[in-house]
Amino acid sequence: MLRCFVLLMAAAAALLAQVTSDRLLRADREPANWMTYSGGYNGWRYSTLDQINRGNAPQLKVKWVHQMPTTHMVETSPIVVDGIMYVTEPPSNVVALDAETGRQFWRYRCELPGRINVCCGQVNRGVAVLGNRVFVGTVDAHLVALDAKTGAVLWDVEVANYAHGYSVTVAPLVVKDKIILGIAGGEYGIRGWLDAYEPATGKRIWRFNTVPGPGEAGHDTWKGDAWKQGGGSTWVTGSYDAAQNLIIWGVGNPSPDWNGDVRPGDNLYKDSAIALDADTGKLKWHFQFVPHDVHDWDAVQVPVLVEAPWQGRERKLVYWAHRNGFFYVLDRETGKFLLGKPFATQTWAKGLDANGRPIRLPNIDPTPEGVTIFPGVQGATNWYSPSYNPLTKLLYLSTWENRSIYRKGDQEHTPGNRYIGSVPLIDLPDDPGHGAIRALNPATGERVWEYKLHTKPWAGVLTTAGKVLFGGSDEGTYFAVDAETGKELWRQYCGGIIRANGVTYQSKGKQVVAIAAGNSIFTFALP
Amino acid sequence: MPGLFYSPDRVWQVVAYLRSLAQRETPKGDAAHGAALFASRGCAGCHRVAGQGGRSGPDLTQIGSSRSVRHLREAMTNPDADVRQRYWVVTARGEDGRPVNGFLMNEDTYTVQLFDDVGNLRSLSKPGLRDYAVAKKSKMPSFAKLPAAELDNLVAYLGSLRRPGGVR
Repeated sequence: MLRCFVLLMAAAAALLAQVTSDRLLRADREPANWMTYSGGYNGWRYSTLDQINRGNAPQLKVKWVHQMPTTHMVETSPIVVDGIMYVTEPPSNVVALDAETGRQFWRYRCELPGRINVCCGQVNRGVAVLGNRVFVGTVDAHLVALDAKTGAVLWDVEVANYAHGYSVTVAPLVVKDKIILGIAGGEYGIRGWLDAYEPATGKRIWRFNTVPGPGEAGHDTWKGDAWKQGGGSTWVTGSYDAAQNLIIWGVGNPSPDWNGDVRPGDNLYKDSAIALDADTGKLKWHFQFVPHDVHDWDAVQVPVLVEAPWQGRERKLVYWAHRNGFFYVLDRETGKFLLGKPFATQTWAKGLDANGRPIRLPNIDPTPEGVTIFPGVQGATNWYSPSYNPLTKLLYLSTWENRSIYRKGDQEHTPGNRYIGSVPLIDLPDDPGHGAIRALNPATGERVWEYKLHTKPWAGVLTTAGKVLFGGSDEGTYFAVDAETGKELWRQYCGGIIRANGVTYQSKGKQVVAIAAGNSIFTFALP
Repeated sequence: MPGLFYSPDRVWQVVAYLRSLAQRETPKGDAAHGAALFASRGCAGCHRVAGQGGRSGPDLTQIGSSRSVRHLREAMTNPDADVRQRYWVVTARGEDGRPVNGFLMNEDTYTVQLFDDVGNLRSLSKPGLRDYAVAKKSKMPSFAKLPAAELDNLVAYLGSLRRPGGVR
């Protein structure tokens, strides 16, 4: 009898701690937690916490540091649920930490094969949680479900063949009763997709091919067999519009990156925003930022979903600052282009036409000798998160002012090997460029302020109801600035490159800010 | 040979691997009968297999991949012979006098992290504890008195719990 009682108590406690899809839908009502990649389905990376504000931010101190036993780049965005922080340790491990002290509860160590094909480091951007389960993608293209209490493996399914260049670096997104998962491998001639999986079993529910095959809409934007290795990865977590039941996600570059000769046509759905029905994976609309891309300008940014007045009426909008240097506003019900304006130096387009299609300048495509244009290969922004603050009504970005020399070369496709068509010169040695945090008025695309950085940042931004913006530099400094003016409030040198997105939560009633820097998670709080 | 500064988990993985090299014994029992015994003997009250069962003992979903037949048999007949730190038993009492009991997950000079007896992850500050003790004993009863055939069947079942195919 006693044993039955104990088991019942355990079940009751577990139920209370479970993350339901309803809690995820209303994540903004639980600012003590950070339950999904961007903090909420709208992609804002914004918190209603305001204990840390512009007045007291200069007093922030390090609370604890968790060092990871890894030599890989740490790009994780922590998830915090009811006092437990779940972070990925690259390549594909997961640890559960006490959010108050940083002390470890458990660790999942993913055993990997010897040779992994990942273009830009064996990285991972975080986990997703639902129920008592933690979900992680792995660089050998598996999706793994772990027991949130112990880290034990519940299931482990292969989602693609890693030997052919497929890998998972994205943080999954839980939408209702599905795990939404993207894929990486655009530099290896994969055929990309976005998938939905059953949380209980790992069984695939639907797949949307980002390179349409014969009979699929958009296939006519490809010629010959180029679609079979057309790229189109989906390696940054998208957003979810619950009212329309639409998953909005960005699609990566076509393969090969810098030689488009083998793939004439617009190459849908490369470099596009796609809006999929969450139940079926059917495409509702798309918007292609860069038709026939030859510069590697993926649409791997977090879509920012906002309801705002537009030309006299309230509309559902998507704000999208793209790697190509333009800031876009789209209608979220139709995908219609509403506004496009450069937010950084660009020398490749005269502008955008009435439908948002770029009006290309002459002589911008890669050549064997090389063509120098802005933005550079890594774009005017990239995968690191933007933030939207509903109090300031501004959109915040980490941006680059940088140009590259784009070269074109020949390359045969062989499964599992690089398929990029030359190697560009990413940074000019005598002019590597610089970076900035910029605040844009999304109604016009105009810049409101900027906070200049000596180097080009790979860290996302986070804003709060305290009107504080947190950002990081490649030099290793995490900083806070006034979200209304860009004036610096506080900074802490962390001693390692920051290539991650910050989050904020509460522990024992006090606001904490967390960021991965170097091979560590740093947390900060007021004394 | 130089010393290896591995974490306890990793040391145990190496030990398990070395043991697996030495122990090529094939289970004698019947795994299907063992699975039925596992259910009828209440093992799942404490152990999980593929997400089903309790969490008061080690998750056994892939136990056959990391433990030899001899180790599995010994774990049932003499549970105290090899208790991993993760299953050491914490008995503590907070400043308010309330008991906090569970399994040790992690510990340093100042704090202790445990999986408590109602299934929560807890992190306690040691200076705030009235009592604190750790018993390096297993909470599992010995099954040494099981009929030999039943023991063989259970070992066969546990040995069959392995990672699915592929690289993992």
